[in-house]
Amino acid sequence: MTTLRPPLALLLLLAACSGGDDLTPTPGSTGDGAAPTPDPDGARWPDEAAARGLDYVNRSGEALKATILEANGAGVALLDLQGDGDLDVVFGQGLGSLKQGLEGPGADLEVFLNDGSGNFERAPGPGLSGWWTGLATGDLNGDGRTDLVVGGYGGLEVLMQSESGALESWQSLVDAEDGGKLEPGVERPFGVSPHWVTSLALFDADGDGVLDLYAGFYLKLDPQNPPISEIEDGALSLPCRWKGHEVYCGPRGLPAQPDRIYRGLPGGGFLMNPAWLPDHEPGYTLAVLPSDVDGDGDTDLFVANDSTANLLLVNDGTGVLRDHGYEAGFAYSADGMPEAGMGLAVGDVNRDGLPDYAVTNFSDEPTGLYFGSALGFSNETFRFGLGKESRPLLSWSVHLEDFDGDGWLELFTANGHVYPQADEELTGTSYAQPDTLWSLGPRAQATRFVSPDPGSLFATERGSRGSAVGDLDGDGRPDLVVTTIDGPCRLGINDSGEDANRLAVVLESTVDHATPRKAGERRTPRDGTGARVAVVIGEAEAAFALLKERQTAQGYQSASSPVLHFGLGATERFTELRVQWPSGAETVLPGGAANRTLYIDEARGLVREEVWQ
Amino acid sequence: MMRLVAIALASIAGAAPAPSLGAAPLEFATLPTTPALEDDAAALAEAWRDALELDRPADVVRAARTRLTIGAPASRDGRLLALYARALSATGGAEEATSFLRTAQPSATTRGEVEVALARLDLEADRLDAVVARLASKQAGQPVQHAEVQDAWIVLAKAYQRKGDVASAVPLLQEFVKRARLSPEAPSAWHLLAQAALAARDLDNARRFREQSQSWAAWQAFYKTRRIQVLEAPDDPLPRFGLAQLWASVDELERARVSVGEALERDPEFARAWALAGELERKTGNTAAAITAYGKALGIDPTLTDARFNRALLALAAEDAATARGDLEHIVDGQQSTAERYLGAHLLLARLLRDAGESEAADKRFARYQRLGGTETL
Repeated sequence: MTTLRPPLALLLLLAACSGGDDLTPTPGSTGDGAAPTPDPDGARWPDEAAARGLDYVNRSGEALKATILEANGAGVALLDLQGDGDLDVVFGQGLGSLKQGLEGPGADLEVFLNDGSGNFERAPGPGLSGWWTGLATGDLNGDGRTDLVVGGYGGLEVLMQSESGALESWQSLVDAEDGGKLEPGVERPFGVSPHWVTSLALFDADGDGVLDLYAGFYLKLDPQNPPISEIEDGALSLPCRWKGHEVYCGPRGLPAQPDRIYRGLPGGGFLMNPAWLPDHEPGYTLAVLPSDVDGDGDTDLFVANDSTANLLLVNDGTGVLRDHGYEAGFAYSADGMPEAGMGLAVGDVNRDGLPDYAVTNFSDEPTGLYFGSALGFSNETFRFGLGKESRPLLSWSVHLEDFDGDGWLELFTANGHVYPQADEELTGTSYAQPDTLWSLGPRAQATRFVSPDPGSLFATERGSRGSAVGDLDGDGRPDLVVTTIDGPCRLGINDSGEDANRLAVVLESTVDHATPRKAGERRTPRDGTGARVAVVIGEAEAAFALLKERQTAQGYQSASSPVLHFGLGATERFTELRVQWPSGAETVLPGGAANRTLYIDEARGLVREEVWQ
Repeated sequence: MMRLVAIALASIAGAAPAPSLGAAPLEFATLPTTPALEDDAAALAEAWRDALELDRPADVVRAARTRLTIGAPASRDGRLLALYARALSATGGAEEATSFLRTAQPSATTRGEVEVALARLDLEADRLDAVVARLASKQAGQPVQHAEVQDAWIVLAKAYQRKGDVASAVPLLQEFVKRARLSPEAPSAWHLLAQAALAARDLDNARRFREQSQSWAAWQAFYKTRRIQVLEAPDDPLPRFGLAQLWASVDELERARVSVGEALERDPEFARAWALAGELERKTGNTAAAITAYGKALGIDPTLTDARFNRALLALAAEDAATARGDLEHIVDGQQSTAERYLGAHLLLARLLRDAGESEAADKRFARYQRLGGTETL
């Protein structure tokens, strides 16, 4: 691991020496004191999807889930369409059956426009036809508008946002010729598996200021002859069973598809660039998370794989990514076993200036909480009591976010089992599960949020999959959009931390991107992807810093808001704000008041402030 | 002559895949009522352990509810009580498992099993200090209580490791991999040792321990797979043969012998199983039985060159020059004569001919040996 670059590193070191890393150790053993308690502030997290016009209903095959394709559900993306400054919502969408995937009609993306106050109206989709799962957002052509990449079972499409705010097809990254593309209603070769894209990440791999694309691929599944009940034939066949129950086959026993990386072109297209992914061992990728893990100024990638070792792809600065997951303690569980990695989140949980991360897993495999350290990561799952708390849950999307604004991150997981058979006797789990939210500080103990309100996002048991975080109603508090497999989406309106002070930061870089780059010159992407922000709170010995990185790919198959949210707790002012841009430049703002959104441009500094009403 | 045989055996051992033996198959479909298990707590414990390892905890729960009734002899067997508790926990009944164990009355000789099972429940509930309190020994030279229960070592080690106390975990892990190399938790133990070595910047050991972890994890995965296949196709010899190979690969020769015997019961014309049986006999020093088994294999499938080479080596050791010569000639004149793994056959035949006074033939064979890259002297 290299060290943080000087300016931000020094700042964070200072923070760590004073107020940082000040999680209060839990007295005695862990695991005994995490009983759910109602939120002391009376937060409810009401699910207002239906009331606010988000009437998306997911389709993901048939209820019995005969094939693994039908279990994975869809993601969601939050992005500003039409340039009106609010967050609109785009959902992936599947089909009612695998047969429909062959015969058509295919599904389009589903688009909902925000009126600025968190109420939505359906808008026409881009006109795609397929089975769509993962979404990624970013400004691909530097025009100041957020574009979209969507992947699925047999599709990987680039969509540009037009001046009018419509998403328009730009490039298809899957070939029809080799059978990788699944076009519902179009005859396809027998015995060929489509490309199956799960999670996507747009990030700048080589520092040229143009976003590149990492596409996580899952496995080979022949839609015309999927394995049912057993894998292979004869005496060495294996039944597809879980805890004695017959279930769909996979991922184990089915061939994994290798992930792909694409180099972004200044005009907005992509070219596949396998040279950036040498020595890649295919896993069953379900989640991808970009982050500057080693603090050397370029972007690395966490890759969560289902039933195989997770990857930590460390960037050498030129875009070449090599796996160091094992050495970093990220590849396997605490017990040294590969787990079913489903979702990923990053954040500075213990406020020591180093990124910590969470990875969700299958039931009987706890959600892992790992703290960054000088040498790899330390597993904090059990000391926080998350082992017992999360073991019965099968968790997908995940976020580390300060929802209640107290200055400490919370852990959200979207939960739901893959097997309907989980409802049989003696499985130790259930098909529908509640979503979960735990506070992780200041006491070093995962304490679960509960709401007595039956209309709360956390009160009902569903089959959640993707989720995205963003302030949808413009009150400065990050809300949650969650997809449910075979069911309606949910919109959790964040009503927690009513008295907390907060700050939001929007980044962009209007530095000239048109002139040719000098040798070794690094540039910031137009939308600020990869920039890191440190907000210093307090003075002198009592000072500490909150750290965030501007990345939208997190959770599972989803893209969250590009706006960075900071909780300041009872403090009404921040002491200093620093932005470390991927170009190497730094923007330093003196202290200021909280409860507003700061718009910061690499070229112009603080452009404007919007005080929340 | 014997020196040559020893060299050749060594070369074969390095070249040929390691053979193996297998455990008796377990019929889970009849788990709760199999009469043979009724009076045999040890067999019952083995069956329950297998069921847990094969991801069928509900079978154990159902079986235990009929067996562990108050007053039943089985209800005093700590091994069965502990396994039932693990099954309960795996089916969502961790609290019920804890209550059950706390009120159980195991025999004095098996009480340790219950204590360790309670500690495991504490571990699963993140009560790490409770695990340490229950299992850490205060006696000098005895790091763990209930040391006779092999799980005590790994459960306490994991508690220390999860608490961040790697130094206390490492010696326990080292002892566990010695005591329980075939445990499903052995790969975890090796992994934790590798992580500890990495943290200490001991890269050589980190690499070595990681390889052990991965190798044993692969073995465990195959072992589980083969057992499932045996259950699914009990009359088919192939999964049992695979099981035998797995046992042989870890030098569990008696278990391998059982499995290969079961495979041959189901298909007496299974040539590779006979070859494996020969290899097992060879490894246990039963030369005559080995030669017979190899002969059976070659009688069914003359193309099994490894079996032929091994029979030749044993025949040489037994000073049965005729058999050895026949086999060696078959190899060096056959389709695989140029394969590197059979290079030694050319040399052995040349020496055999030399010892038989056939100098010209010996020189011819030796010349070919040299052309193929052999460097030893005649």
